[in-house]
Amino acid sequence: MSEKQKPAFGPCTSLILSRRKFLGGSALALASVPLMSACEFAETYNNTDEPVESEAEFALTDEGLAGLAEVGGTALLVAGPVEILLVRDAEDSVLGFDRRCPHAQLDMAPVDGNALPAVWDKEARTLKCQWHASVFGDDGDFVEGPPGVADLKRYEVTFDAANGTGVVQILPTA
Amino acid sequence: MTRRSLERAATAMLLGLALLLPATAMATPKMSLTAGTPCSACHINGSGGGGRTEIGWGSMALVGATQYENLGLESLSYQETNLIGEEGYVSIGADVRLQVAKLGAPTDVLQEDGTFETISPQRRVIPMQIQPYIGVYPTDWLTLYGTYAVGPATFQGKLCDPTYAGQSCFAALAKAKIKPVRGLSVKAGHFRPHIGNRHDDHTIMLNSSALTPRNSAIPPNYADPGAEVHYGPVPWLTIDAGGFLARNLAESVGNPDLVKENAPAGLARVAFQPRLTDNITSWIGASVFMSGDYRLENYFLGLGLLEWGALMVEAGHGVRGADVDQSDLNLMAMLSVTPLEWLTVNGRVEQATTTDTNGNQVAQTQAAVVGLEFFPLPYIEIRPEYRVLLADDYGLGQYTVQLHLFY
Repeated sequence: MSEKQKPAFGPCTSLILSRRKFLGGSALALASVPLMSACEFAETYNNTDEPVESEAEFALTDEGLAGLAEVGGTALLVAGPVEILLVRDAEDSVLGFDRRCPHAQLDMAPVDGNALPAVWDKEARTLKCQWHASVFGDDGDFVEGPPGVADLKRYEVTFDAANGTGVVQILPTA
Repeated sequence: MTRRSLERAATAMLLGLALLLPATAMATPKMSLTAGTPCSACHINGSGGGGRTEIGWGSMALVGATQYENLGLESLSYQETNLIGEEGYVSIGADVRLQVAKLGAPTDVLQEDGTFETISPQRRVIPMQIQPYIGVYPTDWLTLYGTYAVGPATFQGKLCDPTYAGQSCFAALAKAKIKPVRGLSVKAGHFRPHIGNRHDDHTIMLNSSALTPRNSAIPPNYADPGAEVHYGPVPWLTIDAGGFLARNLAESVGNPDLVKENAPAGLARVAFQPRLTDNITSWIGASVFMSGDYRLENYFLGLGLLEWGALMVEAGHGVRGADVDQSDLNLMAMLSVTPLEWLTVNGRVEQATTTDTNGNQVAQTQAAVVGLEFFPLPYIEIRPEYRVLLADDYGLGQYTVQLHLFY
């Protein structure tokens, strides 16, 4: 198309560009991706040398575990460097999950400063992270919520309702 | 001259005006600076984002490294307007965004031997936004606007089940010009108050806490029921004031001690937009949005060179608690340069700091983003970016790519 044939769109006439520019721009955009990927990194700053115990004992009378007194309640159990969200899912059962939601690593524990602790749905037997509405089943499997959320890590818990005590298996048994 | 001729002439004039605007006149805040126009020039809701006016639509109608007809796609080539029908009383539009990114944060995963291994989140393809818009113009003084945000739950048969706390699945408003007073208009409905500047990247931390940098108090598609008065008597001054019911804000803040559900919320905003020279635009302004014991202040300063670029400095100050239990001071500086109509280079740095009632720092997060906005064809944007987020307990550097289709 000659210049004279172009529609009279004022300065926007120059917007009608060539296929070469289309390809050049596309190549630039695509080339930027491998360049940027070479600079990717992921690191954490809360590393600790504290050893991980293979299991952690708890009692309902322990400080900070009062939330487990009733079915549906939650509480945070800190076992050295491992932080576990405990859920009283039944009179005779307690579940253990990772404290942080795998969606954005936001806190699900009912502690001071956390405005949105996770909520256990007794009927559906699901745990809902209220930050972004990720929902996990009682086995930790992702049920619904934002796209791309991984399953929630679950810990095996043995609970003695009569004594109000339990044990969380942190490391797999030999 | 017949009515149809008049309408065609008016359309042509509008379109001509649109095309005379810089090609980058997409009314994101930076583009508003490089175009020298307010958000209302390009967006139906008047405060930025969402459905585009005929000018907003037209300003992007030819922005592409090439045109559809050059690829043999004449059926997709340039149209005169986004208005439907001969009467032109209705316009439609849409935004669709797909993002390739790593969601979440690096995690120390416990290994079977009792050690921890730092695992980077997996890169995923995320459907970020599927959102149609409609504008209806029954008279020259009344505009009706509506939009629906399709979410993951929509495909499960739940028409309104937003993903994020405080999100709304729809917005609907009526906007009326009060003709006797120049520049005065009122809008009412369920919509986002005119808080600060509305950016099209919801990871910007201006309205977040450093403790939860990915979780803005004003999430994408936030809306609450209310009404807002807009007054712009001269091109360089706009004043907004509104009253709302804090339904979604209460959910977003997530603390009924601060914001109770359906508590009254108030907004005030003033912005000066003086054009310093023929080519240099600017703005300076502030807004405050508050409900109960929660207050969000936004301050913004911008300098633009027409058709070339913009520099913006913004601050967000969130206060939680009558006795300031916790407050956030978030800063952002953004530079945007458009060397070619179809290619923009962006960069921004941010810092979010949260302090407690005694002024002690609780958390601090820094972020930096550099990237391109590449328009291979009209209505198609490819946005490769490199993003760094440094929180107190983790750091993540990643590339992301967004495909944005719009109309």
